[in-house]
Amino acid sequence: MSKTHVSTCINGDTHEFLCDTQNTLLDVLRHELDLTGSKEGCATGDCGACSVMLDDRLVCACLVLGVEADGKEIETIEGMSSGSELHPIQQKFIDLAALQCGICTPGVLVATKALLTKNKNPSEEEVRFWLAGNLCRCTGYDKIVRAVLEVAADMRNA
Amino acid sequence: MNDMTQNNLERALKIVGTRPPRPDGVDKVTGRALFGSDKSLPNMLVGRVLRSPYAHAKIISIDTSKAEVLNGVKSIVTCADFEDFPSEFVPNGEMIVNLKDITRNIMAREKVLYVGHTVAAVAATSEDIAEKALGLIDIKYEVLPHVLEVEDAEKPDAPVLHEDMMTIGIEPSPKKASNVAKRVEFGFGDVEKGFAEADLIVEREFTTQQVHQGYIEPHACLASVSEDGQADLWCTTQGAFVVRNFCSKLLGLSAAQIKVTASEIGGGFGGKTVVYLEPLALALSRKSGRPVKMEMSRAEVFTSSGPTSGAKVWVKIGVKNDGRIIAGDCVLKYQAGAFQGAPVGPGAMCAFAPYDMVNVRAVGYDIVVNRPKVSAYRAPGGPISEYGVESVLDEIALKLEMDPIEIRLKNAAKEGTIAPYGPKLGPIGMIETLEAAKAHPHYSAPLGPNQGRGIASGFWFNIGGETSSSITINEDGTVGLTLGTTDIGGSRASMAMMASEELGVPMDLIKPVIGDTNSLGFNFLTGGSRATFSTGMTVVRSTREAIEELKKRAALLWEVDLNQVEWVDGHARLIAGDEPKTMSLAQIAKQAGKTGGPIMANCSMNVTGAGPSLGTHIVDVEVDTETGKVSIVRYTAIQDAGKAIHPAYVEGQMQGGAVQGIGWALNEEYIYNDKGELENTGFLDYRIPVCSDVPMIDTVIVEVPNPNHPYGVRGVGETPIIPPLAAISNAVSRATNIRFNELPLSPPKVLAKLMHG
Amino acid sequence: MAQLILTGSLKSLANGVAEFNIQARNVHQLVVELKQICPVLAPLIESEGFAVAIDGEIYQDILFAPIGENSEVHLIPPIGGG
Ligand code: FES
Ligand code: FES
Repeated sequence: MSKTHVSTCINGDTHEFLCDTQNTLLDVLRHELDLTGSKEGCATGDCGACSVMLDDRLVCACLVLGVEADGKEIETIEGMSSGSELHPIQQKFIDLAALQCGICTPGVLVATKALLTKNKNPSEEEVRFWLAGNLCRCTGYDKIVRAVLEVAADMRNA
Repeated sequence: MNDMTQNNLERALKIVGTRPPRPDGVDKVTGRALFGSDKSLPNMLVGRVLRSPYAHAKIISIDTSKAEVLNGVKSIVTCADFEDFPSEFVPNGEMIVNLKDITRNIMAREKVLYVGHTVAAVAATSEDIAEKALGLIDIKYEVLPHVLEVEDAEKPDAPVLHEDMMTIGIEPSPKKASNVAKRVEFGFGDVEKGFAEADLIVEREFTTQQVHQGYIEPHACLASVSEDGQADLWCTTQGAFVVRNFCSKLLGLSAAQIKVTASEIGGGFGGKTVVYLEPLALALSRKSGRPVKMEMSRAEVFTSSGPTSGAKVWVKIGVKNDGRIIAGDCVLKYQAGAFQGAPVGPGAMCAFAPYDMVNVRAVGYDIVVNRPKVSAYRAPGGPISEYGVESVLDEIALKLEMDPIEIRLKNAAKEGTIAPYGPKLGPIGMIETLEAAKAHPHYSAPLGPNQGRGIASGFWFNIGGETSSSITINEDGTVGLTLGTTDIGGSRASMAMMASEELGVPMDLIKPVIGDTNSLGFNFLTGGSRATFSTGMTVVRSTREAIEELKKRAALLWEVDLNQVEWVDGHARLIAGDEPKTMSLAQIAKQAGKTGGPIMANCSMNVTGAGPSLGTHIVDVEVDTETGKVSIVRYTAIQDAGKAIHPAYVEGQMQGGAVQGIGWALNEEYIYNDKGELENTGFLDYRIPVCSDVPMIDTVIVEVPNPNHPYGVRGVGETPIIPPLAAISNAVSRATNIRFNELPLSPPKVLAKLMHG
Repeated sequence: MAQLILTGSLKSLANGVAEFNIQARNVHQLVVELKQICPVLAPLIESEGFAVAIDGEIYQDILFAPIGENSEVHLIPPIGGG
């Protein structure tokens, strides 16, 4: 089977790769491009550890084919901080201990950023439903939700 | 004990008890942290596992010849590539494991014992080729009848999994093999006499289902064995040293030949205390001469890695009219999975441990069934047995019209109480957590319609064990800590905090790293809530040794006796003399070379003196009487931490444990079809709590210091998963006026009971 | 005199005897002494591993944990955790 040539823009940089039709975007990111910040917890769209932005849409990279990324803009956890500055969401998660093992964290952060772009003032319930696709087995979600609410307030006041 | 007698329980603390950012935080929020499957090596192969489609079958033959000639296949291993071992018990994690069983669990030999049991593994140049090769391996099976539930497995005509398994612990020992591996019994007094004196007796049977730890990161490893037998293994594990020891046994390599480096770990909860892929990857790499990377899929994690037991629990408690327990009796039957080793021993030991018992008996049976072999899961065995006891106690409180906290206070274990497993307890915080629960506003808040409030307590022992760590004072005055216990939930932060507190230098000058198996002496794994307690103990001790050395160097430079120098706030200070003289750690460090060489200290010990941690949880539920759905409306977790080094991570353990317990109580269960195949092998059907399922989890940290630790630490990780099962079940029972004795309390089960009682 | 106290299954194994006076002054000596005073228990401790509680404090695999003049010693299974 011949591979498809794909060109995309990932975290602002252009990338070209060859991809089998059945390869997911997550496979490509992790295995071809060594962008291992996006995690694989299930490969079936149930855990959200692979959350990335695809043309401003929050998706599970394990449910998108690599070839679908052609001509699209992708943003992953690796693109969240700028230079040596953490994004305020990242900083807040550290400050409030909103991570334990940290495997869910990249996905949760990407999803949170997507939420706060859409909704600057989410209620606790909105945060909980938005993040319902991001499984975390360590924290019980309490500190994650608090961090999101707090950083949303900070960003509104900034 | 030993030289840790100088404790800091009374001292004003500057760092311990605060909430600084964790040292590995930035790596984890930027995607930089490398987990099990995030590392690659040049020329690497991909390894895949062929698993049994049958729950129980004899292996007649394995033919790999077709797969071997497939282009791109570089090595294949089966049981023929692993040495067989006789029964030999070695300690691991929660329990003693048998090498004979482990070698059969990582690779089936005579029989396959569960769907998902490994039968062969392939390494190939690509995932596709490896998958294709699996399909070319020809295995002939003779399918045998299987058994999934303990009550069936005990029957005399049940299919027997191990023809040589004679029940241990019954007299006279049986002559005929059965699925009952072991019987254990704990207790004292005379329960029959106790029941005869009781004013009220409640006796109930409970069922819990098999549940999985559900860590989000699947098992993964990367192995590289060179031609001279030197092996490098990178893997996600709770104990690099334990992995090294298992792999060296299973592969016939010496400990010095294998270096294990623990990756960052994406959750373990006990499930990453054993080996699955690691020996396979090493064997495949050794055979192919190339690095091999292996990862489990989520389905493989469910079918083939460590869940904990489903169980049948019978509990009988007798009380006097004033609520005092006069007798407690229980029988626990735990599924072990395909090989013996259910956590029924600890389950039986802690069943009644929160209480001061007069007559008590706890009997446990370890029963093999055709399911994956259980591994440790957070307080292994405890949640199941204590669920039964805490539920019966709640029913008794209702019958006596007593407050559920009062009845627990009336019976609470305290310092000097004889634990049901024999010894006298040291200072523990059962009463303190109950008092804190009673005083909490949650406990007196009004309830809405269809709501109920449940209470339950939990006890876990906590452990110490073999531990070593080292500290290095760098020339510029910064400090390195090398630790040997996997950091699973922020322990690097707590270690740096304790070193910072001792040294009197800011925490950001201290860099804690987790060492590989070549950098330190043996470390038992991170488990049993032991990391902050045990590694903390070695860190405090080696830091104090380093301080002694720093003082020595200052004394040399000042040309005074060592006893003229004290250590205060990161400085050596001359005690006598007219004017105060001090020298900072950095100043001493700078001259270390000239005063005798680099400054470092190690500490290795087999840590003892762990203190049990008790917890009490309060939960409000609302039951939808039309659908049977139970919602958690409010939740408060109260626990004695001894001392919270980093309170945010202590709260995090309590919250995470509580929510895992909520999952166990409400939704999670292994569902098998009649062929013995697991039907829910993904997170869609094996539903762990998601963010919108739970409310905020309030926490109250109670601190009854453990006198054996310099800061009073007990360990917190295990206990919080214990109370939720009974607390939720009690809440649902109170909301509906129907007693529920079965978990999970999923909508269909609740609805059925609501309709038919 | 220090005492070894057995409960539960261990007590039944020892034919119902619940208490032994022991001379041992540490765990190492206790293992040796057990072979004489209660031989059925010795293999259990050696093969499967047992922890001892000396005056309430639990020692796991620590041979030289001291046993005091009037200590109370219990044998318990080793405890682990997740
Ligand atoms: S890996 Fe994509 S949702 Fe789990
Ligand atoms: S922090 Fe471990 S899964 Fe979320």
